[in-house]
Amino acid sequence: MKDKPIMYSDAEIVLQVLEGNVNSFESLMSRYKDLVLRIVKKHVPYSEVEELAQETFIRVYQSLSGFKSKGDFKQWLSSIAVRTCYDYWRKAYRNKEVTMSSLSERHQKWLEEVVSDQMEAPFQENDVQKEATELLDWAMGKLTPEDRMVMELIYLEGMSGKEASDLLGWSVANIKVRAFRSRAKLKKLLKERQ
Amino acid sequence: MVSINKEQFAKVIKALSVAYKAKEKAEVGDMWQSRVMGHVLSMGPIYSKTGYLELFQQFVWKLTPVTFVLIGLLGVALFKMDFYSDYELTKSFVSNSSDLVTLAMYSGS
Repeated sequence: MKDKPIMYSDAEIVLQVLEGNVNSFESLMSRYKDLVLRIVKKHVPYSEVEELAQETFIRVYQSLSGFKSKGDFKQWLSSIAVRTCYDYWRKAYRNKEVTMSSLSERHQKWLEEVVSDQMEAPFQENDVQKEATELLDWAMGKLTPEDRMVMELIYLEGMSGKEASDLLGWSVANIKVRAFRSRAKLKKLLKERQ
Repeated sequence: MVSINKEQFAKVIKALSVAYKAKEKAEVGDMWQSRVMGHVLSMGPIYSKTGYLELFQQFVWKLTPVTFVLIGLLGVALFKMDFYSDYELTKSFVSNSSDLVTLAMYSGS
């Protein structure tokens, strides 16, 4: 009879890594690579995804001793991934590296169609228009890194204030205030475009 | 500038949300994981770095009550000994001011 491979829990693997078995870290990477990539892809430009995902895992490795064995590793890892993306935007804004792409008539038309209900199927995931993605990047580029993160987590991903608060490490009250402000800012931006 | 009402704005958010979620379909290269693992391996084990730090932290925290006890004992000792400044102490031994001046001359101050 063939032996089943031993399935270690996240906490057990963390312990193995902390005991000096660095290779065990690869098991964690294989287990959570898709999760980290999924988070990072949504928050940063495509060209930066690989680098930011790598930075996330390096941060995870470096702060592994700070992980409490009774905690949820997935949640802990997700919060590091989100904070790595937030740090990316803070750095980009500080260095004024955020490209403010301009919107064309196409985007204007797309927006008008969505607002006026003329669009046949604007919400089909398989058929995301290029205009929508470009408009999204344009609008997010106009927000501060803090507002951007809250906007993405609360309104675009549909998380609760508590979930966003856990990921970003900010208070729920702060998240709520920022969510309100970022929504108002986005609305103003879109109005001014029309 | 045209006004967007609450309902229309909700539609825009919904459409943007679809575009946002579609971003996760992007792929990364096959070699990505090995590259990251290579980087992690080059950093070496982390137990030694954290081990010493944790030991130091544990040691420091264990010393906290001892520190407080020592501070308390020092406070009590100072209170019981009735603390005097050097000048006050000298003054209590030397009765008149001319002696004080002479003493100052010999001490070089």
